[in-house]
Amino acid sequence: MMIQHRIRTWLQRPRYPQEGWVTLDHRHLYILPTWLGIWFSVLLITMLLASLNFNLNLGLILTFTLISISLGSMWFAYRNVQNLKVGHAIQSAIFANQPAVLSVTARNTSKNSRFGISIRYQKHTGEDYEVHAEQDTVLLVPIGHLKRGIHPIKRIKIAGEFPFRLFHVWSYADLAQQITVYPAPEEAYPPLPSPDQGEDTTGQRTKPDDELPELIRPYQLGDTLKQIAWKHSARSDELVSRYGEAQVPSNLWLDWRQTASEKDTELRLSRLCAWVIDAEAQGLQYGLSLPGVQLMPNKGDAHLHQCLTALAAWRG
Amino acid sequence: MHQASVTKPAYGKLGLQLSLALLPLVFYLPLFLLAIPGVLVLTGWIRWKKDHNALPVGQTRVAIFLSLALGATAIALSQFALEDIAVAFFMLVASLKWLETRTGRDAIICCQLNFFTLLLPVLYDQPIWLTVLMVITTGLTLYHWLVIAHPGVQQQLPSRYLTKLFLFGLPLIAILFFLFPRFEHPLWQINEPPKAQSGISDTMNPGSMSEIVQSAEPAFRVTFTGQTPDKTDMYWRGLVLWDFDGKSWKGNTSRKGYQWNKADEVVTNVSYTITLEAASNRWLYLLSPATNIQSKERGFMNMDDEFLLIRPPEGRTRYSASSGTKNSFHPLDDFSKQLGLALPFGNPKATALGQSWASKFARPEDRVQAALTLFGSAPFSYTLKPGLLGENGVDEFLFDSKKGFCEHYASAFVFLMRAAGVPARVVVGYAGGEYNQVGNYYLVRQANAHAWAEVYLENKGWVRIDPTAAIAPERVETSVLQLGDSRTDSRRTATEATWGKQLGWFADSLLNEWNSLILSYDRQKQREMLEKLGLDGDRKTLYQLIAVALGFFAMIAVIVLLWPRRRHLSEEQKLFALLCKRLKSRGFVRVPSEGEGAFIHRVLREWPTPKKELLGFLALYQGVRYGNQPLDTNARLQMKSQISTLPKRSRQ
Repeated sequence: MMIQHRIRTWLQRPRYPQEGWVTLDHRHLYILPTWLGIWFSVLLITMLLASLNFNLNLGLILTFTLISISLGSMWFAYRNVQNLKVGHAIQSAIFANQPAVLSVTARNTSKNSRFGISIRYQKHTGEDYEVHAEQDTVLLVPIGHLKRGIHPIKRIKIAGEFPFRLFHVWSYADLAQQITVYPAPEEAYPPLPSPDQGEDTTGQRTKPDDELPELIRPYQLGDTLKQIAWKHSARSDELVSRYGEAQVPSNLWLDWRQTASEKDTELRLSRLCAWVIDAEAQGLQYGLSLPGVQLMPNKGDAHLHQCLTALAAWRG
Repeated sequence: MHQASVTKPAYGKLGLQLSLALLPLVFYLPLFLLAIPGVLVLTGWIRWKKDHNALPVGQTRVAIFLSLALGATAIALSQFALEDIAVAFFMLVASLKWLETRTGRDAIICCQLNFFTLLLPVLYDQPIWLTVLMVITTGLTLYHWLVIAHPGVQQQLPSRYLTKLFLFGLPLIAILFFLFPRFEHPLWQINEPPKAQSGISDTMNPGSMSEIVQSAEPAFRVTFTGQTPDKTDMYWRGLVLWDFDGKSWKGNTSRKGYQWNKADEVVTNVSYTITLEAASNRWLYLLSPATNIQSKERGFMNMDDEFLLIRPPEGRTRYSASSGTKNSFHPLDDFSKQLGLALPFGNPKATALGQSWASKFARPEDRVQAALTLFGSAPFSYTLKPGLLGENGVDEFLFDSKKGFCEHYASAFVFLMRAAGVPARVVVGYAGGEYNQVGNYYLVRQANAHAWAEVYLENKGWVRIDPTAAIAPERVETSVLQLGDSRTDSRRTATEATWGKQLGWFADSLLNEWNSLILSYDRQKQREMLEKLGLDGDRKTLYQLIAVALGFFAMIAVIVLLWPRRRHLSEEQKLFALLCKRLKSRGFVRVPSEGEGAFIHRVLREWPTPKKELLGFLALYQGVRYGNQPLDTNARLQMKSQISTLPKRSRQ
């Protein structure tokens, strides 16, 4: 029992990156035959016995050739993964209704390409990738659907079975990455709450002004009804739309309390998520307020991401 | 991922390699047994042509059931040899696996099975064409395996990779082949199917020889050690035929079973080694008289100077002997004399002719000469197609057709001699041979098959007489094939070898080497080889040698894998390493967890003296390594000077 425990702790000793990379050196690289390899060895033994029994030298040459190629492939399989480096990759954040994909960067500092390298995470196996000589390659592994939240990525496995899939060569890395899963935006969400007039008077929202000709362009597909300048259109016999900032934006606060009609936390977060995306799409200035979290009104991608991350990370 | 389903091209590749592996079996198996796998393979190709979907599970089961039922029927009918049925069964397994290949994993198993399929025809025979086909199919199968297992790899890579793997493995292949302990006796035995008769049999019918001589197949190859006999003396004696029934000549069974410890003295002048191709015959070919016969096969010399074996050799066999001339002979016993004079009923004209010679010539030699003169005169001619002969074949040949091949001449000659009261017998074997300049040996083909006569002369013993030589002397030296129909002068071919001939010789030499070195290698030869190397030939030595060899390879492999590679350092890192070395001599060692900056600052806390140099160095270093500053000559010189101007440290 003691020995088993020690072996287990030795096998599970963490592999943290050094200078950003986990190097799969021979101290941390394991190799075992696959089921295909075991079955092939049975076949080879059968062939060997048959050839020996009738002293079929041609059969023996064939068998010994295959044996030596298998042994060689064991060596090549090991070399194929040895001294590969793995490190962080930028995780693309996802919404809870999208399949999650974990990404890892593999760096090949040697002069030979590595083939058939894949990442395994828990029960999920990624595609085979070729990591070209002296290049970095991003390896992806789909890990199914995840719940909303910030998911720390536990130990990943890096494996290769090139050339013949007779041997499985693998190693581990603890990269301490995390995947952010935003709430799934609600589909049929109520319209955005009206912007706060009380707190902030700087952003007085004016009615769209039809009298500003330079902000008018012909109607394009995708323009909303709101954008159409009805008075202008009536004058010129064709639809024209307003564009740009015809209105001075006001501060829109998206608040946890505004979703009080719903009991379910996740649903409330989904609604806020949908609102945040909608507000960003409309080009509004919006702030987010959750119990214990306050994000000042702003707009742009970075702000959007900040708000969504706050929603993902929130624990009520 | 290898759970993905197999694409159409991959399915076709599997089919191609399977068809190639099964192809040679067409020559060895009965048609009925070939039919089932044949239908399956055809089904596979049709499915591939359509849209390569694998056989559904239900249909696979039906196919397995049907095949098993047919197989059981075949066994029940017991019409086929058991091993044929076994081979057919493996063919079935291989073709069914191809048919139901769905995933990449299935495809790999299909490739692996293909190697086993390749082994099947070898059970029957190991001819050179099969070897070539095996090499091709093996390469192809490995290639497909690699491509199917990793569909993403580049186009030119697999073949490069395979070549590398093969070349790395070559020494190991050789070591395993020559040193792997072979079985003394087979663990299990299947009764070998009787091999098709080729070459000379123990019966000579009219026309049997002319059939054999149209084959270019090699019968055996001879290497002379020391001097070579004259080509006209190369009569490779096989069997002696005594009994004539008017149509065919047969050996006499009463003389077969006895070993004959010869009192005859043989003065040897040639020694040679013969590699006899596989045949189901129970005798060896020798230049007569022969002595000192070394053969792996158990056998004995009998009273007629035939060397008979206990059982036919398995496959090719090799033996050596010495030959020369006899300086004494045995008187003919009564029984042999009776046999040597026995005449069947029939052929009255020939009998009368022989008897007339007996009364005309007192000396048997003159009677022999009379027959040779008769044959040498027109219109006797030598032909491969003498036409059919009736009841009294000898008469018809001597007095009507006067056209015949060596067996007609030998047969008629012996008949005439017996009628003339001279004991005579027919000998079958080979005459002549083609000298291979490349391999320095004589190749004797089936086309060299020949029949001649021996007569017993009171003061000389048995003497070889070749009646064919009287009519067609060139036939004795060269084979029918070399003659062609034009009857050109054969001596010219020996001197002016065309390049085509040279190439032929070269190919045959290679073949001979392959046969003698590789294909006939067995436990016996293994022992001999070890003993030549001065080692004990038993199994223990082999195991030790293999262990040593494998250990050696493993060691090299591990050393190459674990050989410490110099970490590639950039220029600024090298400079930093130099600085660390200098600081080490002053008592500061950087621990692995320390960043460069942290280390420098720690040094400065303990030893503030070189603040200017160290901080200057650090700034430059970090600018180059982590900033975007280039490492120009200026910066390099500055850093070097900062290292070299480090002051000494006085230890407290």
